[in-house]
Amino acid sequence: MLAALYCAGTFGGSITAILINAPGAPPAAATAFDGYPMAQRGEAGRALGMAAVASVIGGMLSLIVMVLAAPALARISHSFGPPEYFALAVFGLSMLASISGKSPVKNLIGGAFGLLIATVGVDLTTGVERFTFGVPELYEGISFIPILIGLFAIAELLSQANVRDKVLERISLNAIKLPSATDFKRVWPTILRSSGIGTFIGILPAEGSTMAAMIGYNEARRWSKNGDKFGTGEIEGIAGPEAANNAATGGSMVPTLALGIPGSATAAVILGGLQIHGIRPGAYLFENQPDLLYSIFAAMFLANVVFLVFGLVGARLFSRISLIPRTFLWPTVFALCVVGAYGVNQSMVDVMIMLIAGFAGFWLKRYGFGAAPIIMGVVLGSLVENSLAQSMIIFDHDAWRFLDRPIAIGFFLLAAFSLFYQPVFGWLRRFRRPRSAASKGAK
Amino acid sequence: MIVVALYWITTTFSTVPALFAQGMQATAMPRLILGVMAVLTLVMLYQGYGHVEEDKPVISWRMWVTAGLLLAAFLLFEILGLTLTMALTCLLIPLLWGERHLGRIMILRRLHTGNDLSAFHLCAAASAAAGILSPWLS
Repeated sequence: MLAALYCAGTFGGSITAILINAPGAPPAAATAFDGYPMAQRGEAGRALGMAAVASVIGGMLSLIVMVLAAPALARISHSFGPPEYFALAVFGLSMLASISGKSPVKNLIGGAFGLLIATVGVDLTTGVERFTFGVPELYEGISFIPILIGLFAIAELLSQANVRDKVLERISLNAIKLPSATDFKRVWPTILRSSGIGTFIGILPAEGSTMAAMIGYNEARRWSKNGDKFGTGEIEGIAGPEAANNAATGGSMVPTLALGIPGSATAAVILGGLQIHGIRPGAYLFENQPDLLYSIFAAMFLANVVFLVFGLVGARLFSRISLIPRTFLWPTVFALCVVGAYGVNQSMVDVMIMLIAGFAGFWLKRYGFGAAPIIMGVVLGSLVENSLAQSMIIFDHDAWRFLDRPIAIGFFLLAAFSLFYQPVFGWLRRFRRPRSAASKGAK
Repeated sequence: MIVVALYWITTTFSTVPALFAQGMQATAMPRLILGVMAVLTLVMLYQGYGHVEEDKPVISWRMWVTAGLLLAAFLLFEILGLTLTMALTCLLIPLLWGERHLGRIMILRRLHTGNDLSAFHLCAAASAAAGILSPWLS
């Protein structure tokens, strides 16, 4: 269900992005750049039709990649021991430096904070209590669900309390049209390119649909003959981001299912859901629970088909959700949050954790820290600690012996690259600029 | 400051003999993470040095009162129970946020009273959450 929601939710965000210029989800932000101007021109139906078709093609292509690549990656993971998993988790966390957000360092601090949250509870090796403050409910650690709900929903509720009502104008929508042969002929290279980009970005740990959509949009503009008209209602400006963000859904499930490393923040939530049910992704999952995997694949496939139908037929109705006054929407969200947080362990401590996470999330967001890195840290926390502890036992407490493991070295190098490529390239650019300016001055 | 405070908390953790700890005490991982956080914080401070901080939106009184309301709701769950607390919250948040259509608010409150109760019993099977209404709801 979570996997199907992931696919359908990624497309769903584009409906409001096109009709009321309010993306229903961050990955749909790029769709609004050209979708809303098209809707203002009276071409909302054409824009929605293209969004639906591009999303389905992107989603389906990435599903094919997922079905082929995930089992292969899982087979490779047979040769992984604790050192390789530790290095892989470090690589996954290092990718937080390049996910969307203003500051890579803040993303990394958020990830580290998430890891710290995961250490709460009784240490399994030593039996020592850590950060439990004498609260018995914390002995088994902090449940993932209340933190998730708090950081995303309660923090947003508090943000909503701080803003004035925005007046959203819904553009009238008569009929949704499937892309014409002319439109399709024009956009199919964009769809294929964006599907490839989206799938690749999805496979990278931590990179999600939002970044895929932005890159998909930029590449569509770069390759288009009408690149200068982007932002004024170009059909390629819808096809590019929509194919990319839906392709990223299948891509991000590859490392999630094959290695247990989330491919995006939403995949981290799905991974958390699997962990709650005692399911450990990786080679074991592929060998022993193929039924579960096939049901995930089937759910994502069906979601892609169903949202095409629902998207085309029900867009007019679904777009009305964004017009519900926030004064009614958010109390409802709060009620659902309480039920969700309490329902996991039937504990009021979880409700308290949800509220604390919500207040913390509000302040962190205000200071530029995103919720997604923290969630990634929480999800990867146990893997990082356990694999490090096991590695140190294997290596007889000599950390240098990580260098004896080629796969681990590869992941560490990738981690170093993802951490330092931006500062190094930035420094090189600054270094070159004065030299070229000086040489021009000399001429 | 937070990192220092958390580091101090790790000094209060118990220690076990090295044999039981298998060479990695319970403090090792939290301290490693706090060390990383400290280094990253220094990098962040270095990057921010000389930069003018962006103006942040002013926090309105509504946010503070909403936060207080959520906290009060948490404290009242045990006493009033879920149904009454949610009904009160769904009455007060819209009013606080400027909603003046009392008829709509009452509809929302009534919907919540029924829905929250059924959702709770369905998802959480928690009759304890009924609070002072428990004699009537059991």
